[in-house]
Order: sequence, then C-alpha cells, then structure tokens
Amino acid sequence: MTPGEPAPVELPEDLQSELDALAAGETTLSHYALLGVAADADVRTIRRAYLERSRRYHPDSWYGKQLGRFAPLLTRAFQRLNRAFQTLCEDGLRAEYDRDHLEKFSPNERTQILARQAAEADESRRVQERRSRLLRTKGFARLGAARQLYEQALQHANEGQRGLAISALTCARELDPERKEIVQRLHDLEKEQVQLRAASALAVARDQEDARAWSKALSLYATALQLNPRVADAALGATRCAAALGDFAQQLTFALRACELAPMNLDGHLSAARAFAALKQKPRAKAQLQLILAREPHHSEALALMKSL
Amino acid sequence: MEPVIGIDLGTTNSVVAIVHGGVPTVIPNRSGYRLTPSVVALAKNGKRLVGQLARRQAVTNAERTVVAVKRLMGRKFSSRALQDVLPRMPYTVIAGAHDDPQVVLGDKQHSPAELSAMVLTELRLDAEAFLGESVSKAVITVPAYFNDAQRNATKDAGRIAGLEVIRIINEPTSAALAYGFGKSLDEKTIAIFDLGGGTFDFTVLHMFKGVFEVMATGGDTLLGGEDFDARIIDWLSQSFLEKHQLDLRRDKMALQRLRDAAEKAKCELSSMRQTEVNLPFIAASPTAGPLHLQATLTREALEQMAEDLIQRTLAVCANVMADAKVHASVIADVLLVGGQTRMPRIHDAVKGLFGKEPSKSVNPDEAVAVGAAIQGFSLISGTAKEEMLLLDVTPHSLGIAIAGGYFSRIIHKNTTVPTSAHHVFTTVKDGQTSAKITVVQGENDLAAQNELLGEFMLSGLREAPRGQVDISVTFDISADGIVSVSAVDAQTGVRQSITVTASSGLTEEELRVAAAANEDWLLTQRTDPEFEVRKAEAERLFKEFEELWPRLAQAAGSGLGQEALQRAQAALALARIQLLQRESEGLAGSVERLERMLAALRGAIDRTIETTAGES
Ligand SMILES: Nc1ncnc2c1ncn2[C@@H]1O[C@H](COP(=O)(O)OP(=O)(O)O)[C@@H](O)[C@H]1O
Ligand SMILES: [Mg+2]
Repeated sequence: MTPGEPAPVELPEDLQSELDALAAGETTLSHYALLGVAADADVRTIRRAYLERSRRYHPDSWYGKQLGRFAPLLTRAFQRLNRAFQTLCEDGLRAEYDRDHLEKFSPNERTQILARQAAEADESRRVQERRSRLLRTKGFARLGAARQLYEQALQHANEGQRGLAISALTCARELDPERKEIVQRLHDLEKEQVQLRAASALAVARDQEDARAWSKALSLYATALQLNPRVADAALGATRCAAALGDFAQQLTFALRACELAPMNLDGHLSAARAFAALKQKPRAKAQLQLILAREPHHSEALALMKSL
Repeated sequence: MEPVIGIDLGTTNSVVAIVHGGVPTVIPNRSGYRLTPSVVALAKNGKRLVGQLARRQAVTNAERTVVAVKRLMGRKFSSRALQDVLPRMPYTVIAGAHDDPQVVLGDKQHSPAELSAMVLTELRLDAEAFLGESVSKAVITVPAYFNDAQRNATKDAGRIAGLEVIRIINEPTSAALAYGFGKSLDEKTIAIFDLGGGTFDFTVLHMFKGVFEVMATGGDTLLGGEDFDARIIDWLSQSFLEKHQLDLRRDKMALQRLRDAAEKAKCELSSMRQTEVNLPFIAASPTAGPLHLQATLTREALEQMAEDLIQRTLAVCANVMADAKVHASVIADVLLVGGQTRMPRIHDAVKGLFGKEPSKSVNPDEAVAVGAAIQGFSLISGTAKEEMLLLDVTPHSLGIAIAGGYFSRIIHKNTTVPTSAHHVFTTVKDGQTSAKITVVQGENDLAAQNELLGEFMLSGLREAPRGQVDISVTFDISADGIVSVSAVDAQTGVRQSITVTASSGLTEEELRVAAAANEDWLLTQRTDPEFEVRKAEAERLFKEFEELWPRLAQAAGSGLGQEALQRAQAALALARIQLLQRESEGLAGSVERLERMLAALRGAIDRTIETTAGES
C-alpha cells in the first residue's frame, strides 16, 4: 500500500451495501423493516431481532477493523436500531408510532398492523370477558383468582404491554382489595404510564420545534403538560412556540405556568413580559421585567424591553 | 495474538485475569494470592509498596498508606462527593492546581490516577511474570455509576501504567460476561448484586445468543463493606468509651487496629455464629495504665447493627427493576458479586426479594476481572459472529445548564451506548461570536446539583443578528461511557472550535510526565520472565519439600539413607542462594535436580512404608 492511500475497508461487501442503503433510506425505512420483523411481531420477537441485529451493527463487532467512511454509518445504523427497539417494545410508543407513520408503511406492513390491532382488540375483549367471569367468583376463590391475575399482569408488564397489565391489576384489586402488592404495582404502573406518555410527547414536541413546526410542537407541549403538570420544560416549550406563532394569549398562559413551575428560570418571566407588552398591559410587563432585573441586573434583553416600554 | 488482560480495579481489592488458551484464568500475584489489595504505601525506608505488603504495614504506617484511592478518582477537591469521604481517609489529601485532589506521601504529592496506576503497574508485572511475555493492552472495569470524569481518570491511570486501555467496561456487566461464558445460549434475564468494600451496584441484564443487553443499572456510591465495619467500630469504641472515658477513634493507630479487628470479626461472622475481638494494649490511661479491649460479637448482633444498610440495598434493587420494567419474579438468576455478599444475612435478603437462591456459578471476588478478560479477548479476536457482545447503557443523564440554572437533559440515563444526540443553540445577542456551554451529568433538575463535566467555549461564530446563527452541538457517548462534544454551524456546516475551560482531569503534559516516571520505575522492576518462571518453580519445590520433611525424617529412621537427605538439603540451600542472587541459569539446573530428588525420595518413602507395613 502506498502511503496516503486509504486502507481498504474490512467490512463484508453485503454489509457495506446495506449501510449505504440504510443511509439513503434514512427516512423511509420503517422500524419493522429495520429490525427485520413483521409489523405484527410481539415484543419477544422484536427483542430477539434487536439483539441479533446488534451483532451486525454494533461497532464492537468490527473492533480493530478498517471501517473507512463506513464508521459513522455503522454507528448511525446501531443508533437507529436502538431507537426502533425502544419504540416498538413499549406498547404506548408503538401505537403512537403506528398511528403517526401509517401512510409510510408498505401495504404489507399496513395490513399486518391493522390485523395486529384487530387481534389485540379481540384479545383484550376476550381477556375482559374472562375477567368479568372471574369477578363473579365467590368466597375464597376470589383470592386465588386475584393472585392469578396478578401473575398475568407481571407477565404483561414484562412484555411491555402495560395497558393489559393495568387492566389485569384493576380486576385483581377488585377481587382482593387488601393485597398491598397489587395496589402498589397498579399505582406504579399507572404513574409510569402517564409519565412515559408525557416524556414521549415532550420528546416529539422538541423534534417538531427543532423542525420549526410550531403549531404541532405547541399542541404536543400542551399535551405533555396536561399529562404531567409538573414539567417546566413543557411549559417553556409551549410558550416559545406560541411566541413564534404570534399567539400572545397562549404565550402568556404558558409563560405564567412556566414561572409557576420554575420560578428561578428567567426565560419564563421574559416570555411573560413580552406577551404582556404585546397585549398592551405595560405595568404587568414591567413587573415581570423587574423580577428578572432584580436577579440579573445586566440582563440585556430585559433591559432592552424595559427601555422600549 | 497480543495478550489483553482484564483488570478489576477495586476500591478494596484488585484482580487481574486473562483468557489463556480459550480459558478465562485469574492470574495470581507474585506472592501467590489471587486478590491484590488496592493499597499503596511509602515505607519508612522510602520504598514504594503495593498490595499485600502495603496492606500489612498499614497499622504502623497509617499516614503514609493509601487505601480506597478509587473514591478520589475523577473528583474535584471542592466537590461534596470528595469532602464527604475525606474524613474517613487516614492519609492527607490537599487541593492541587486545578481543584484536583492530591495525596501527600512523604515529600511528594500524587494524583489519584497516579496512585491507581501504581496498583495497575503491579498487576501488569504479575501478569507479565505469569505469562512470560510483556503485556501492554488491558480492559479495566469501573462501577456502572462512574461518571465521565471518573472513567477518564481510570483511563489516565491505565495510560500512566503504560497500558493501552482498549475498553472501560462496567463491573456488573463484566460479571455477567463471566457468568455467560461457555453457557448455553438460552434467553434469560439476570440480575447482578454487587456489594464491595465501598460501593453498591445493582444491574438487570437480558441475554440472548451471546448478546448481553443491560436493561437498567443503579447503585449507591457510599454503601459498602466499610459501612458494616464502621458499625462494629462504633459499637466497640462506644462501649470502650463508656467503660474508660476514652474515645479510641481519636487515635489514628488505635483506629487502624480497630478497623482491622472489625473487618476480621465481620468476615468471621459470615461462617461462625459468634466471635471474639481481642485488642491488647489498645490504649493507655493516665491512671489505670495499659488498657485492653475485649468483646464478644454474635452474628445476630451484627445483623441488627447493619439491618438499615441491607434495607438500603433492597430499595436500590426495587428502583432499578422499575427502571428496567421487570418484576423480581422474571429474574432467572441473581449473581452475588463483591466480598460483602458473603454475609449470610445478605444472601437471605436477596433470596427473599427474588424468591430464589442466588446463583453460585460465579466467584464473587473474581467474576468482574474474568469478565473483563473475556471482553478483551472478544474484542481483539475479531470473530464477530461467535464472540460475546455487550450492549451497555449510560448510567447518568447527560445535558447542559440552561438559563436560570436548570438542567436540560439531552441523553437520558439507561440509553444504550454508543449513542449521540444533538442540540441546537441559537445566538441570543446581535453579533455574538462566542457562547459558553456547560455540560453536566446527573438526575437533578438543577444543573448545579449535578456533576460538572466541563465548560466548553464555542468561538469564532459568524457575526449576524441574534437568532440567525444556529449551532448544532453533538454529544457523543462512546462504548466506554466517555463523553465527547463537537459543534457545527447549522446553516453553513462550518465546524466550530471547542475548548475545554474547566475539567478536573490531568493535562496532557502531566500525563506524559507521570507515564515516563512510571516507565522508569517499571524498568527497575521488570524482571526476566524466564527467571520468574524458574523462581515460581523453585518456590513450589521448596514448599513440597517442606511438606514432605516430617515424613522423610520418619522414614530416615527406618531404612532411607541419611545421605540422600543430606544431599537434598544441600541442593535446597544452593537453590535458595541462586534465587537470592538471581542466577537464572544455575537455578534452572537446581530446579531440575530438585525435581528428580523429590520423585526419588517420594518413591523411597512409599517403599519404606510398604516394608514396615509388611513387617508388622
Ligand atoms: N467473608 C466475608 N464476609 C463478609 N464480608 C467480607 C468477607 N470477605 C470480604 N468481605 C468484605 O468485602 C469487602 C471487599 O469486597 P471487594 O469485592 O473485594 O471490594 P471492592 O470491589 O470494593 O474492591 C470488604 O469490605 C470486606 O470486608
Ligand atoms: Mg468490586
């Protein structure tokens, strides 16, 4: 090899073309296709596919090899694989993904998804029926039935099917309201469910904001805030997007909300001041600015706004 | 293939292992032990001591004996984490030039990385003596919760020790590799419960066809065997105080003896129901003369003293399982790792939580080092198809400080690594040409409450009205868990320069100097590997002769020639001299001769026994 010439790439040919294809299809390939599973696959299958595919894309599998221009492609492929897996193994996220991408799926995938949704609805109806029968159990058998449901719920939770787990636990609680572990687990799962939805709404909202899709981002931030009313980040995001849209009323609502949740964060106060100013409520705008300047006397944007008032 | 050693650089003990002929093997140190205490000392005669030798002299030289230096790694001197552990350290730590801790040993100061490097160097020499070839590559383990600064400090230590650290891996994951090695490739979920000398770690992991996926990990950095010792120390010194109005904890020498005694009692109570603590002449009273400490401790009493510590470990387990979204009942196997898990009460508590006996298939002291060796082997053997693959996660959320002192998460904890994420910064002033980015790691919503990784200056930005320049900053976390940051102008694609303006790490120059100093030291230590092999053989023969001696003496009375014995004694004496004078060639001859004599003498003994048996 002459010096200066790049070393030959030591990756199998098929992987090289696969990586190129992946990079080209960055936005079109579905999570299912990337993982090589059918769109109606269950979590167990998806996890296995993820672990097997990891061998192919994880940079450690090619440790010490010359990767040339494929090095970043390989890392990116692995990260995409991770994201696909994280999304598909969580039933809430998966349903959202299916809904948001329905038009992008192949006809085959679409059929599978619809079939899966139908099967799931079916299954959940059957489960409900079985449970309502269980609920009619009398006497000691109730405790046994509760125990059985509890075990089922754990199984569901482990498979990422939080919805099913919650419904099983709700039933179990009705059968045996005294069992602490049932009540506790149900409470935990419901809390997790809500937090997860909030977190996912927040994440998507950020992506949308990055893409300057203000109104979509605004509604997602609002959803996140509704699900988890303690997330200052969501309120801040919402007020930013409302400002970008010129919707001063909303800007104000969310700004005040942000101030309440995170009183030390000056961005919230600044946004509130701007909204007040735009709505011609000078004294209130000034009050917000004074709050900022009390903490940061040289805050340039606050000073500028103060001067213009 | 160049050997890669796996090193468990523990707070209390370190272990080195290698995959040798396809088999993972723990390498005994040159004194024959499989565990090397992570202790460095400056002896009274000015010599550097590491391991067993350093630990043995700790009582009489506490101020110049460095233990648990791992607790200082990657910490800033002024940080809470460091200030909290300093009172426990018998040695002196001062602030260095960039708010880094420096350990004072005699008239010299050493960074934690340098001291860790001394332990690593020792292990490296052990491995070289064992393998008979030089070793320059290693996989080193760190606790899963180690942050970026601590991981970097560990890498620095490796570099100072002249080792290329090809990978930093997490201790629990490493233990899981040891567990999974050579096992059937069944799919299952396992958990690792690691309670060492100073820290606790709990990890849930899923394995399938040799791929290990960490589902979640968590722990407590201030919970370990030492806390159990502390309970005993407090109990002993409290009753002593009540009896003699003297607080033993105020006397460094007495405290060190108490520490040793407490740990010994604790370990004994893992196999016995009751033990005695005896510390004669522990103090002197002005009125009553010399005072002795004598006490009886039962297993039940210890369990009572430590119950809250055990409950703390269980609480961590519950949190991590919630993070992993699994229930205790789906865990197929629980591995116990770390010396403190030998305590029966811990075994029972774990059994209670998971409803099954913890797995016995890995050695709690050695699994971590063995796993590191397996990882090293997997990486460089390069047969991607069959080797084990780790999908590990980042233990802390990574993000930046935003207006108002808040923490904005960019990469969430328990995200699989390697990973990267980007964040867009917009200029807030007209004509702004630089911006400061503060990178932190942690879970608190207030940036200041988290670990500061560094401050970066983005400079040379395009001049434009505010809001017109978007800088896209990319945060990468490598498979080692180490963070790097890069930035580009989102509109023009021009790379922005980034300068680190705050970090507790060593500078490049400091690293180079330390590595050179260590290399010099190494040269004086590195011995002829051939000689080391002969030395080990000679020592084994000495031992075997010693064990045979009583029977030889007996046999000599009844038939075995006195002359043969004298010849053997002479040969042994010669070998000992050759050993002292490092006469490699001569020693080789002696080893051969002794080997022959041993076989002949054994035969002779057997014959004498036969004949005496026949006579009676
Ligand atoms: N038999 C035993 N019973 C109880 N504790 C033990 C026993 N053996 C060792 N330990 C404790 O284990 C701790 C050291 O564990 P180790 O895993 O080597 O630590 P580290 O990982 O921190 O280096 C010490 O606190 C020691 O007292
Ligand atoms: Mg350990």
